[in-house]
Amino acid sequence: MKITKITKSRPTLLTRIASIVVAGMLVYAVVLLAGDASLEQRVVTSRFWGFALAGFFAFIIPHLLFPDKRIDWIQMLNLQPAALMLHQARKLFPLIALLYITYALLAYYDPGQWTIAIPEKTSLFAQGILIITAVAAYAFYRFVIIGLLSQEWHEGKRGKKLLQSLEAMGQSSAVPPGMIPSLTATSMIAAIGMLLVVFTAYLTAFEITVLSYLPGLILLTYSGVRLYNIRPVYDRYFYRGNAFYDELFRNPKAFKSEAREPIAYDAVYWVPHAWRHAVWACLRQLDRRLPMGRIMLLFIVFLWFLFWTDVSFNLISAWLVIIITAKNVASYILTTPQFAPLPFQFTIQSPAGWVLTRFFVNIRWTPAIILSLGVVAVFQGDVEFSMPLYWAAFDLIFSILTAFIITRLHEYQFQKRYV
Amino acid sequence: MSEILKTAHLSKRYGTGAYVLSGMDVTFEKGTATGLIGPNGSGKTTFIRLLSATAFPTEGHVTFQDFDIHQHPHLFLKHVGLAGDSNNLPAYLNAVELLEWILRSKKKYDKQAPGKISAMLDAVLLDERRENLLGTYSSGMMQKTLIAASLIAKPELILLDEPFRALDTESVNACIDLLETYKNQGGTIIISSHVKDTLDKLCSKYVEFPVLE
Repeated sequence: MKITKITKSRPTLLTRIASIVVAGMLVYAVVLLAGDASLEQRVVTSRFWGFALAGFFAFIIPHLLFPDKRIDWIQMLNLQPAALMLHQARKLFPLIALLYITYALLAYYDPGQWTIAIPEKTSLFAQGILIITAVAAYAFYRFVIIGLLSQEWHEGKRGKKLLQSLEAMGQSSAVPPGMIPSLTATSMIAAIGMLLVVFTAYLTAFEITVLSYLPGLILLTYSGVRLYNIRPVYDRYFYRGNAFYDELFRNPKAFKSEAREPIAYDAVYWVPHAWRHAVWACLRQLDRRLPMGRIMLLFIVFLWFLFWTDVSFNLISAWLVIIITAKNVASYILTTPQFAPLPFQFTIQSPAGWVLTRFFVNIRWTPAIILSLGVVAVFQGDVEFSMPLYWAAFDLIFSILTAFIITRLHEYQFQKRYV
Repeated sequence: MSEILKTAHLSKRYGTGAYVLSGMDVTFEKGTATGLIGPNGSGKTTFIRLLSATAFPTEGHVTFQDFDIHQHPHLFLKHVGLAGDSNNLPAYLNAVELLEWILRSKKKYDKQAPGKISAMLDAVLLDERRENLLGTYSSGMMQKTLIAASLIAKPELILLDEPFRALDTESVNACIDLLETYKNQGGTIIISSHVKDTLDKLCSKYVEFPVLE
């Protein structure tokens, strides 16, 4: 069967820089973690990392797959089902490769003791990459087939009873009904991924190396067979899934009935007057596309969990780097054409104004992070009160740098693009 | 009448291609409406983009009051309302929020502002769907929003690129009435269209763009 390759979509310079910053911060966090860790600490960290990645994959995969930016091309070329599958799978490769690197660093980055415990480190690395490959394949399968179900929820063919009973209680679903199947799949993938880590850890205790790979191999084989089975009719799933997520992500119709009141202008009183209007409008838009409140809550709960389990400070530092990176990079979404059409941006304020606007958007959750560290400092004796201040400084610097780089690559490019 | 905007020897080419505009000298006076007419591809949109500082001239310059708009685009845009490409609006705000943002950004939001916004959207015949997000709008609704957005802060000058495309007759008439009122209050309009008849009710002067060779 002839498989037509399509030209890889060219990311903008801004996307490239944002990707490099995120990848760099992630690698830095892992190097920080692995630096002076013992083998036992590496094993524990690797499991925590597996937990975090299971949740991450469950969330990120549909965003990576749908809607496809090259849909017009794909339709014109009328790609065969197998080519469509390959095209979508290729979108995941850079992320998976990056995560392989993190597992390699976790296992082998051991300054001064490179040659110690090589078989154990190799086993740890192999388990890690098997787990993420299996979870990624499972998530890929689940989200590829979800289009029909989601559309039926979205258009009221399914879920009527649930929504009616919520309405009877004076409630509404916090998300558009069409997202409910995605949320269920997200929970399922995260739970299965975490169970996979647990089972792998459990079977490792038997000291029969092959046995520890069994859970990962089972999930990988299951997902592989499922994907192989839908391969001949993959176009059906692709176009339906793409149409649904296009409606959900790109066309904001799905968000028109809001479960919560959008942020009020007076709620951004903490922003100086000159930039308040733009911060307010940015937060309104961002909250509709990517409500960060719940994500931040989960981040902070996990941070407290790490403190409670008394893991190394390196692990906690790595997690804080991840939280701060995620929080700041979320504002990158505000530079995409749907949120920040360049000619319009220019009529609102100068590029310098946009730097400060993004800085204030970035620091929206800084007090929550500092407060959560302050709580830990109060209740945990070995945490110094200088820690929240140190991280506040780190966050402020990172926030202004991110704001500057993003704006430099967007609003400051106005003249260059339109000459 | 006093002049508000003036082009001098204005020329534009994209890359090393042929000139789209060449040596244009046009003066626009305060309180007037000028129509830019010509067939598709004759350079009307390029001219509007040059006048709105979304394109920069190859030669010549554009003066607003007493400064070159391409040297001070941000200062210039404080005085201007634009209605161009309908894709150039943020998709995750509704029409009311958009107009509120524009007024706040120009420090013109006061207690009367919600009433003004509502009246403006009524005037362009944007119905109750004004509370929906812009990303859900039809082409016609988006055009009405663009016209309302260009006028809400009562700028000194508005630049409209084919503003009536996708509008029904009733909406076109409503928008022309609104623009007429704006002009009578001292506003200056520069508006492009490939159909002259539509502009006759509004414009007293035309700049014609010939077919490019």
